[in-house]
Formats: sequence, C-alpha cells, structure tokens
Amino acid sequence: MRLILPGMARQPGTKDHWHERPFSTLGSIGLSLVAFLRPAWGISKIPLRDTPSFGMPLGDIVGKSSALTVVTPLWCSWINRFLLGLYRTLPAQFFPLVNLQMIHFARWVILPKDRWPGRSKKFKTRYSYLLFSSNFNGTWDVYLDEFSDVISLGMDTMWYRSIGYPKSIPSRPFKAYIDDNSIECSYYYNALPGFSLRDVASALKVRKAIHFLEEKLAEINQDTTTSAATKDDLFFQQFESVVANLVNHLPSTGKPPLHAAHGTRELNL
Amino acid sequence: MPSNEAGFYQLTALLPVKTGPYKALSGEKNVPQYCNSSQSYSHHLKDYLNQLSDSFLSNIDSKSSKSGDLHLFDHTRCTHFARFVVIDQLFYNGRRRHDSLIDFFRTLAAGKDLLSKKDKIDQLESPYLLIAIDFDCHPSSTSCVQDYLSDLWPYASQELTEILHHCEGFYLPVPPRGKRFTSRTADWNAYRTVERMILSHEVETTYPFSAYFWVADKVKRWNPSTDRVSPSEFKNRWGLFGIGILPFLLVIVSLLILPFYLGSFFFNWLYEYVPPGAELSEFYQAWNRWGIIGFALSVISVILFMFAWRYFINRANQPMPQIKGVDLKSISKSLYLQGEFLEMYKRWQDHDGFSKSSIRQHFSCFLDKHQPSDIESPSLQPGKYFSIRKMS
Repeated sequence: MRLILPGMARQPGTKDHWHERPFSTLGSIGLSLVAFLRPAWGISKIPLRDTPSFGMPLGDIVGKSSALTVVTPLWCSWINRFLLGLYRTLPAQFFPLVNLQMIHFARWVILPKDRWPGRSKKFKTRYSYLLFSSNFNGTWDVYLDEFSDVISLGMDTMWYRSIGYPKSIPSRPFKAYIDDNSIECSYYYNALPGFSLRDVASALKVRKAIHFLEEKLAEINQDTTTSAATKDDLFFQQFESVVANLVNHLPSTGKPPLHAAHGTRELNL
Repeated sequence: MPSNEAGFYQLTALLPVKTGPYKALSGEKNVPQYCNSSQSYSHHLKDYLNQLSDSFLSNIDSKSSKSGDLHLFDHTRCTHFARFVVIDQLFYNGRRRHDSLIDFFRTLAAGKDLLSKKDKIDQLESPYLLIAIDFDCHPSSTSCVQDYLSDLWPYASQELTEILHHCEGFYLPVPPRGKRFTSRTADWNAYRTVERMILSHEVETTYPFSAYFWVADKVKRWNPSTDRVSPSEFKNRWGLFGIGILPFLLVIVSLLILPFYLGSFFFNWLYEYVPPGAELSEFYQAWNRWGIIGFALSVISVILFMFAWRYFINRANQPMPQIKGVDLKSISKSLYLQGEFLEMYKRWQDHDGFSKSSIRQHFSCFLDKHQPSDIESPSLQPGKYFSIRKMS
C-alpha cells in the first residue's frame, strides 16, 4: 500500500504535463533534432566535448561516501597557516558549504618542509606540503563543481600558495589539478555506508521530533482531568503538526551505489 | 589542538615505510599467499591493505555476509571514517610561477636565462603510510588517541601489527593471520609499540571540518512543531579576525615609516659634512624627529606583531564546543529510529486508517519498544548496509 504523508499533493508515479515544464520538453525535442540532423550536417565526427579522463578511483568509494586525498606543494606555508587560522574565526563563511550537505568530514594539514615525521631535521624538502582529505557524498565531478561554484574564494585561499594551483574558476583546470595531485586509498572505511549526510541530517531531525512528541505525550498523559478521548485528540493534533514538518525527512534512503570489490579491483590492476 | 574539535578527533599520522624488498619476519610462521620476495614493502603493504578493504566490502552487505561477521573498526562504534593511504612520492607541479616582468628584469640583471637552471624536485627518502581516522572523543580529553587505540586493539591487534610491520621502527613478530598473540606479554609489547609509533608520528590537523557539528547545530535550533529555525549562536569572530589582521597592518606601517628613520641617518651624516654657515639645521631637526618616531613605532610594531600573532594562533585554534547527539552511536540510533518511525506510521495507516484514537497507543508502543533515549538499545550496526544491531 502506498504511504500517504501530510503535505503530499502529487501522486507518485504521475507524469508532469508538457506545459508544466515547457523548457525541458522543448529542450528534449531540440536535442533529438540535433542528434537526428548531425550526420546530415557533416558534424558527426566532431566531438561534442573534449572530456579528459578525470574521475574517482573505485577503491575510494564505499557505499554512498567517497574519499579524496590530495597532497600539494606549498610555498610560504606560514601564509596558509595564517589563512586557515583566519577561517577558523569566520565559521559563517562556511555556511553555504554546510547547507550543501555533501561533506561528512574534511581536513587540511600543513606538513612543514623540515619536520617530516620519522626523519631527522637534516632532511628537508624544498616545499612544505598541504594534505587535504575529505569524505563526501555524490560523484567526484559534482563535488568539485560545488567547490568551484559555491565556495570558490574559500578554496582559493585554502590552496593560496600551492605551486601550480590554477584557482577554482574555471572548474576544468581545477579538476585537472586535483586529479593530478590525488592519491588513491589502499583502504577506506565508512561506518554508515548506506547513508549520505542528508540522510543523517534527516534522521537527527526525526529523532528530535520523536523526543518532542515523547515530551508532549508525557504532558498529556499526566493530566488527570481530561478524558482518554480528549487526550487522543490532543496528541493527534501534536502528532499531525510534527509529521507535516517531517515529510521530506521520512522517505527511504534508497540503495547505495555498487562498490568495488575483488574482481573489479583485480581488473583495474 | 585543532585535531580534537567539537567532539570529534581527526587523527592524522604519517609513518615512513621500510625500503628494500619485503622480508617476512623470522617468527612469522603463517606467511600469506600474496607474499612475494620481489615486492617492496610499499607494494606488499598496498596488497595487504587492498585485501583488508576487500574483506570489509565483501561483508558490508548484511544479506550476503555471515551473521555477526564484524570488521575491525565496526567493533569500536565510534569510528566514522578511516583510511590508509600509501604515499609513494611527492608530486611535482612544475616550476613556480613568477610575474613575467619581474622574471624579465631578473634575467637582464643576471645576464643569463634563469629559467634554463634545473629545478629542484622534492623526493622522499622512503614512502609514507598516511593513517587518517575520524572518531568520537570528548573535547576535554587529553588521551583521545590512547583511549581509542586501547578500545580498538582487542579486535585489530593482528591487522595493526601486520600494517605497522611494514613501517620503520617496528620489528616485533606478527601473529598468524586471523589469530591473536599467544602470550599477554607479547600482546602488551606489540600494543605499546603500535601506540608509541602512532603517537610519535602524529601530525597536527591544521583545519578540521565536521559537517555533523553544523548539522547538529541546525537541528538544535529547529522547532519540530513550527518548522522554524532560530539563528545560530556561532557567528564570525570579527574581534579575533581583527587581531589576526593587526600584525600585518603593523608591519606595513613600520615599513612605511622606516624610510624616515633611514632618512634621518642620512641627514645626520650630511649635517656633519656640510660647510660652516649652511642652514640645514631646521630641516635636519624635522627629519631627525620623524626618524626617532619612526624608529620607536617600528620597535613597537615588531613587539606587537609577535604578541598578536601568538595570541591569534592560540585563540583561533581553540576547539569548537561539543554538541550532544552526533556521536556515531547517537547517529546510528537516529537512523534506526527514522526507519522504525516510518514503519509505525505505516501500520497506523494500514491497520487503523489514520484513526485519531489509536495514534497515541501506537506511539506509546513505539517508545516502549525502541527506547529513543537509550543509544545502547537496538540500533544500526556500523559498517553494514541497513543492518540492525541487537541489544548487547
């Protein structure tokens, strides 16, 4: 049986009428015409886009989360240390990134050129290095596009003194830079492989709503002057108002993508 | 310390991997099948980690895995993410870019083409093993890593010793695969060595970011009844930002007034050599006065620079406070409750047809059965797709 939640207006499975989404319908017709006429115009051999082979190594994906590990050379790392310190005083600058709900955990670590762990002080590299490690949802392309579109200034200041850093706009050289400096994980563990950050945020809201209803239920039950029917009515009102606000946080989380195991990894080698 | 922030510890450790061909230790009786003497330690370590990763991925689906087959990090119930990465060599991103005009004049001054000089390329003496783990830890704790490792050790002693056996400084025997140390002394020695190595090779996380903290902050401000979200109490700290910027402003000011100081020296020298009768005294005195002021300001700005910088870095690196309810146990419980709440709603719809009189009963039963406040009661099993963890 289909689940009916408060606020559900459209029947799932019903299609939009063409006049409700004119641009997508016209766009589809246009694309079909282009595909049909391309050989006639003699442009069938011209590639639509010169797409480089960027992407995510399969070993870096576990369930709905992916790992990204980037090591880049830094010149004058104290400036980056200072900028990262400045960012710690400005948490509101990251609110757009937080609202995207793509990254679970991320870290920026400056590795000083004269303090490599396990090495004597005599060993010194020419540059310091910036290690960036992230656990995110979605595809590699979309993730870096978000960096480029939403917090480009933030990313540019984080990698401010990185050698060869092309800035995050336009996104293509930025992606090439990240791809060139990435290292694949040999082992990656994710405690909640079936859930994205949005799923977690929804679950936290549901739990808060349950606690809220629990308190209301206790209040209603404690009132000895009202009848059972009135108590049912009072709780129903509370329940209805809360569930109406949870509509977008209750549906199923969906299936996670296929992971790379055994045969797939061997094929890549 | 920024590694420990908002109730999460972001452990970063870099351990140098042994160089040369891989050699199994003399005490190692059960040599794995993948062992090949022509392999380097780095290659062998990658193979081992890949096998470990595959064993995790093959059991991730609770339907196909054996019941109760938990992976090493599943046991702790506080590890959000973990990764092991072998860094074979550093990246070279080409020559450092300069301004073309500056390079042009430098070339002219040097009389030769500076770009033809060979660039120095960084090279590591040995590969590094990067260990990056995100786990729950109370912000006030000073022994997060030690406590975490002691929790993990009973379930991961074989794997951790096998991994660290590839790293410099670890020369203890490794127990056979799938088995633990036979004697308590050997187990204790191995644990102490692993703990010492990870602690001594830990690198401070310069900037940690945890979305769970901000999500929890937003949920905390959300009113379930009205669906309104109140403003966050975490705002930009403009005062501290100003203190951070202040050192640079002071340096700029001191650089601007330094020429007056140097100018006064010049006029002092000039005054001594001017012919008698020349009237330079008023001009000289004016410069001299500005020079003294400039010198005093330069000294003050340098002192302020040092204090402000230290104060700023210390204050900026203070950890954010912890918000309760976003540790892994609480998140697992929340995800479990989300699914069960939906099931309860469905039963209410199917059996009672949204009857007003029965929802109170349904919800009371739901509370009794699933105990939302108790994070130890039935919850999701970490490291598996949608698997319910029974009560321990």
